[in-house]
Amino acid sequence: MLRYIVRRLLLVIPVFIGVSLIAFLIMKLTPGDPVLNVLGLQPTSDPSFIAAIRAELGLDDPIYIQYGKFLWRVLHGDLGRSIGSNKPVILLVSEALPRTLLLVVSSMIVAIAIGIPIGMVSSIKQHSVVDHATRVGSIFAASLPDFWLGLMLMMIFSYYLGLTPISGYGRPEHIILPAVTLGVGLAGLITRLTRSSMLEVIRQDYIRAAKAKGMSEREVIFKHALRNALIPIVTVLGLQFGFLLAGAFFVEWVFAWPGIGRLAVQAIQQRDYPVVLGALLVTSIAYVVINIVVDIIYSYIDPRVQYE
Amino acid sequence: MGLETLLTQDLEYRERRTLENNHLLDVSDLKTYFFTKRGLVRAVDGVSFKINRGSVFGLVGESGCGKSVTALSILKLVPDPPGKIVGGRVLFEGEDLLQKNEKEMEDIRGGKISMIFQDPLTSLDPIVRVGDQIVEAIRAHTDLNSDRAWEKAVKILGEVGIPDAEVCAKQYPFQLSGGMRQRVMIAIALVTEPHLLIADEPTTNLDVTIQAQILTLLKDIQSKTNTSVLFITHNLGIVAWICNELAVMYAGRIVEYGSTKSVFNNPLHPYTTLLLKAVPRLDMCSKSVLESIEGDVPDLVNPPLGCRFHPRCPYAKKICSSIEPPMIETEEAHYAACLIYDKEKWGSS
Amino acid sequence: MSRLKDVKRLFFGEASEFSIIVDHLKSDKPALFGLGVILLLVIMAVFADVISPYDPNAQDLSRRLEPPSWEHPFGRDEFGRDILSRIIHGSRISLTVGVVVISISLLIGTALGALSGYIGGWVDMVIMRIADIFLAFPGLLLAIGLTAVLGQSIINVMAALAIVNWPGYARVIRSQVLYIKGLDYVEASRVMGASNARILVSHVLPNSFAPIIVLATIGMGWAILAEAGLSFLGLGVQPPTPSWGSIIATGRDFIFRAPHITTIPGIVLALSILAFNLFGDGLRDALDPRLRI
Repeated sequence: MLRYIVRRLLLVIPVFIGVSLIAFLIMKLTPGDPVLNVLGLQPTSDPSFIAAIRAELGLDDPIYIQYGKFLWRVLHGDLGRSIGSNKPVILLVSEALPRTLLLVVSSMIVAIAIGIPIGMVSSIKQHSVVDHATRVGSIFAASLPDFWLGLMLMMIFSYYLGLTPISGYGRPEHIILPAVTLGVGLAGLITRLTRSSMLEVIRQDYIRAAKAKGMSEREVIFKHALRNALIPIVTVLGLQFGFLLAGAFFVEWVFAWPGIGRLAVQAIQQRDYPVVLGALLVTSIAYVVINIVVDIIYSYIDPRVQYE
Repeated sequence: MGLETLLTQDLEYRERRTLENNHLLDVSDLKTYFFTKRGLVRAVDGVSFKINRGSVFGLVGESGCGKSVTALSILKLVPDPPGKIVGGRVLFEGEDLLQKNEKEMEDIRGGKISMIFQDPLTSLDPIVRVGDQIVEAIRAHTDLNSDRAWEKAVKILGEVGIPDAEVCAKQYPFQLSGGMRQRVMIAIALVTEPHLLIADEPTTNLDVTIQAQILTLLKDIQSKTNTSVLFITHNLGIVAWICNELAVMYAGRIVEYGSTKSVFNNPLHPYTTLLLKAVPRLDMCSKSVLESIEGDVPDLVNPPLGCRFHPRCPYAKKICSSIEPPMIETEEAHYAACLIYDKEKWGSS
Repeated sequence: MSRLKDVKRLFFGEASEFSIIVDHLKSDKPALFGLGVILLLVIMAVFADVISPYDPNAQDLSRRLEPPSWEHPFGRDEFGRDILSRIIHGSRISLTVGVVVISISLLIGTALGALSGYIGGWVDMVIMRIADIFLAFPGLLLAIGLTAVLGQSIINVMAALAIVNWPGYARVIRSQVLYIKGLDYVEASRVMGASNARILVSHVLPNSFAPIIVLATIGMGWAILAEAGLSFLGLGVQPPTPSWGSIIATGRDFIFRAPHITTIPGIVLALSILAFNLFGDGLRDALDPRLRI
């Protein structure tokens, strides 16, 4: 088990290099002269002064040295400063990222809490009314645009019913609506997946053999069927994490949830490029690491994977 | 000795004799049908047989003749849509299983009646350790705590001939060979000391050498514990070796029934005769020809009228397509469902 | 009549039969519903100028934020513009973006996929590695990042979405090419002098048609959603262009006073995405030979 974990963690290194390379290239391609960022002046300035600044910023070095310096800075946590607020980007990002993760994890919990039970019921009562309604309902849920859904839920539950706060961060109630908004779309997918996975598993020989041992229907479903059915579900959850992350950008924006998404979108609108870059870089790394965590959880559920 | 004592002893003696004569399993007129889109499949259509204590009873037939469904019906494991047990009686130790509710069946399954299946790889949960799967069977029927149950699981793995039982118990099914997996299945089935073991083609998916090992194992265990066995197979060679009684099934019905010795020495039903001719024997000369049976297995949605075998039977007469032959006792305790043995009807057609 | 058969065979290949597919689809009610909505959208988009009751940009500041009424079934927005007309014109934007993005992705994807499969070697490896990175990473995030770099306009949005979308098609085409490469009769026809282009057209295209069209349909739904989202964030169309996403965005400021501005375009957007998903799903079921009995 340990060997498997170590193997997966080692994969982070090349990915990190790849992501940082892309970030560096984006940085180089971004419109806007970095010299101007420092000067705040117009281009008609003393050329020797400009040259000095260029040397200071290392703009005259060969590109690989620039990348090397960039990588060095990143590894030391120096992601530059926000153009708007002049705060260090690393500070902004490290405040925001955990909040986004909280949102994403909460929405996954919502999606699983809704999706798996409904999917299970749907599979046990195949072809019933519940089953058909679930099929259509889950495609419907997955098609809803999350930013619009967020606004609708906000309108209904916060404004008209007064049950939840409108937006913001700080108290536990604040996470309800954002988590539900983000989770609903995924719940649709999980419902369909649970249903088809359970149907597949229930047909297997080992389910029949388990019943022949004298185990009750309940025991067989929970100890054998569900655990095996979870395998493809966990795989998909891992893949869907990326979509949740993307969706989080929108949901954070709608609910003013101060996570990485809101930070990035604000920065894009204000053309605060260091923040944009920092946010995207950190998001990518987080995505990769979480994928590895998912892989490890997966290998715990399905031991066969470890021996490949 | 006084008269009272003698009378009491006589009573006990007669009670014992009655118990001994009771059959462990008494199946009568079992009917299991499948309600499918294509139509009604009469998979098991009036099957009757009896298994005694300590007996190894073979149920023989081609694929699709209904033998597996019969076994599943005894334990009421037939998948409910689309299958249903529509009639008959299954007496186990005097009680009708078909009348029992699900909870009572759960007690019996894996407890007094165990079953092992054809493919040990797909019949074991791939993501649960082998030892734990045995423990499940133990804890479903006894009150042992998990540590004691684990010890018992390891012990029985040793008894079914697995070296390094301790290590094996911690492994997953995919890490074991086919023969070892089948031994694990046998361990699961026998750990609760069942009175009846149903074995559904347990060696069909195994290599020939492993087949022999598993059969020997089964035979040894059976003779040691006196467990009754219902052995389902299409392989006549295995039947000859391990079974003392057998029934031949065709298209959902039993066509011949008797002790192994009498059936092999004197096959009565034309189907049995042809089956035996189709199997190579050591005492055949090299020039003799293996005969195959003409025709195809009948469609169980629309089986042939009358005797179901008559379209393929070399002796068939017109009467065979209009009357379903009953089981006729031709020798002592040796029955065949063929009108040849009804001298009146046969002679007059 | 035989010409028609040739065309059918060109597009559908040996793998499936047209009439069976149509029958399957006819019985799939949700898919038919989706198709109906899609056709409606197309009509709306093509005939927008004719259908819309008012000029989508005509302002009337004295009648701002009016709720739905007989003259204005969807109400008016914060500048007094008729929302129904804006939504009708918005369908033009959504469908255009969808079609353009999918077309470009298809072109890039097919070209790169075919190249990758045909040449093999390190070209194949490089292209596939890049495709894997794109496929593994959440597309919308990449698109957001790209628009941040490229600047905020509808053209950049289309470019960004196309860049994110091509790997799916490339994969499909590549595996078809590899499969065809290995077939014996292809070797034979090559010996007989058929050019590679001919082989590509007559073999790879028809057999790829089924998975590609399913991907493309669902991709349309995704592209429409993505464009709306990006416009919602202000990264896409610029005012006063009436993309559904931007209408919802501006409506957000008035969500409590005038909920119709956010609600109605959102319903239209959701229905459109749903339509493509339902139809794509139905197509997938109908084209999947495994489901045929």
